[in-house]
Amino acid sequence: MGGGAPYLVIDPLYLRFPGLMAKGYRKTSEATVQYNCVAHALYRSDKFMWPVAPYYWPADVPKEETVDALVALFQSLGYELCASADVEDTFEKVAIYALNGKPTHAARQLSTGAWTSKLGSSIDIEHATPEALNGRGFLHYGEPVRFMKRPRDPSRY
Amino acid sequence: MSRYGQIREPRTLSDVLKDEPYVEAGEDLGRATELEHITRAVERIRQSYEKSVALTDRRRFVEKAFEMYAQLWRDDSTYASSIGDMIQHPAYQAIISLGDEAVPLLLRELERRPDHWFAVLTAITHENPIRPEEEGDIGLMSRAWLRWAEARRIW
Repeated sequence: MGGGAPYLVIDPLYLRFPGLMAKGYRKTSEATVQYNCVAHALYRSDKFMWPVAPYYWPADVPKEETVDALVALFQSLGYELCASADVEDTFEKVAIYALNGKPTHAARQLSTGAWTSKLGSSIDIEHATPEALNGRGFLHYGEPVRFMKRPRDPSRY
Repeated sequence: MSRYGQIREPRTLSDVLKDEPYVEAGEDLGRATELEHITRAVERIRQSYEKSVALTDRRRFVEKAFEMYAQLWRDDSTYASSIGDMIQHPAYQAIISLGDEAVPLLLRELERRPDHWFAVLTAITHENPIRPEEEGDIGLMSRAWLRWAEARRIW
């Protein structure tokens, strides 16, 4: 061991998302650009789903970069708006994030009550709360602005 | 010294940015302030690139500028999902401003490591060769652009 001063290596994810430090996170995939947070919230890993050309968006849902378009997407798949991120045993939930009124991210609640997110072109993680990813900077997620739920499908677990 | 003046070596991204603090990781400055920092960083790259331009070796310096813009954009947008925000990034916009000369560099990037270069290619070329059934599949979208380039013998 050398005599130099010890130095601290800080996980870059904590620097980007300081809210993760309180309860940590668990990496659940390698980084890939092949799919994004919306696809991951819908159990897909084959598409990058965002409501702008030339990305995939179902034809029957408005293709515009708005929170309403994301709400309409989840509604088209059986979700309805709900008041909170609180765990409800028979429902699965998603959170839609926005910053300055523009959608930025989506996360899905697991049956444990934890949340799972695909972070842009980076990794998938499990995090304790949706608020753990909050941030106000450019290219940050802002905060959850809508929660939605649908009955849990036992075949997924 | 040549008739074109002394050729300055292209600098690295960290060289260009070291004199001025960039957005510190972990800082939450707010969107507008952070965007100002990034815009200043991109301006420094542009100035560095323009000072370096030599008439005899333009391609080399465009390539270096592209690499610095692309690295800055990649570093900042790693965790972003919003395509609108990614496109709005000043470094992404700076690549658009490089114009036609950036197209072969973008195609090379798509071949090496597919990423969200589709909007900049469309902005420069006014084309979109991606078929509806390919939308959202980054691999197929990248190959659509490489096919487009091969058909025009620019790749």
